[in-house]
Amino acid sequence: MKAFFVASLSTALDLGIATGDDVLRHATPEILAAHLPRPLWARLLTACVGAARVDATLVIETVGVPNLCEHLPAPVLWACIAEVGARALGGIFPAVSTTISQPIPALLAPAPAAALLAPMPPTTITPAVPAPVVVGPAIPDADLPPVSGRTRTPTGAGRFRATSTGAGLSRPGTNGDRATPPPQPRRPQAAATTPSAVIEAGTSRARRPATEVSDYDIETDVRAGDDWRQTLGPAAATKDVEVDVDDEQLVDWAASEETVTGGSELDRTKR
Amino acid sequence: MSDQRQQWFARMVQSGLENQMFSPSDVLAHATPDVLASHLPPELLSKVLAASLASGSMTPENVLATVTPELLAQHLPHEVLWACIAAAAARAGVTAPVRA
Repeated sequence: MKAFFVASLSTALDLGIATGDDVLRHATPEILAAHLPRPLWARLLTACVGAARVDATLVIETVGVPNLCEHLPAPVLWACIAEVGARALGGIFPAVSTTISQPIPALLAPAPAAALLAPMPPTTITPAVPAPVVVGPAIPDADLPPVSGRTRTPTGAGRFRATSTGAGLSRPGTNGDRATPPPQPRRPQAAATTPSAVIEAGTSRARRPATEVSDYDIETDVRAGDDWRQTLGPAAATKDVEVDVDDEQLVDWAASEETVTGGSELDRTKR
Repeated sequence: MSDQRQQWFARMVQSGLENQMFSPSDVLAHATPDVLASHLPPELLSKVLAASLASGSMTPENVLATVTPELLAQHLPHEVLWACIAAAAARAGVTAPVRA
């Protein structure tokens, strides 16, 4: 009987039918401690101490299948073989004519044929759920032709934007559905003067270094001497008053084509 | 994978026979004539018949001498072979669960 166990287990391990985990799931450390002789334990401990990784394969290879079958109880070995055999058969258990005193849990647990070589967890064996059938990608590939007879709706102009905006209009030089506006000449702009003098004249802040001229912020001078409320009188300083302004002092911003960046016109609009 | 499983079952049947875990008659108790006739190829069936005619009898030993464990595992459903092995294990009394 032991020779049969040795042959069955060795062949199963060599052929990949069973793994070391399959064996140690039945030949637990407690069982090994109870049945393996001390010299074998010494060999096993020596191997485990010197090994970078201790796993079931190391235990099986160190102890050896013949030693396992020599010292472990036959029901333990048979339970291991029975589990491997049941898994190899895909969970189909033939009727045994001979009366078995007690059912073997491993034989009663169905296992899928797909999980023939899959390493099983070290816990109990549970009925595995068959893997779902993959019908296809969740998102069809854009390069693939449409499966059904439907054709794709062109995502062209006017799908998401109102045509009045002109954003989706097809123009020459477009690429695909997206409209790319052709290059247009830039509008003439007035030369911007360096605002450093203006800033320093109207603020109390110290001038920043030259490397920070790109991120300066203009502060409004709120000094009391230049407050327009005080120039209009003491009543204007405490409450809102109406100021008479000539029409020529008003600036029609909507009709203005250019942005005034300096000069006398700027001073006039600030008043 | 099927090839490995086939080799494993062949090895188990051979080992069971060698170690007298079960006998050829035990094998044929599961691999009945109906099973053999349904799964063995014609040339193998003819060999079995020819060997039996030559020896004058068709004993289980003669059948298994022709239909070796390798051929059994190759042609017969493995459930049949496993039933034979499991029955032998049950007879040997090794199927009872054991705790440490």
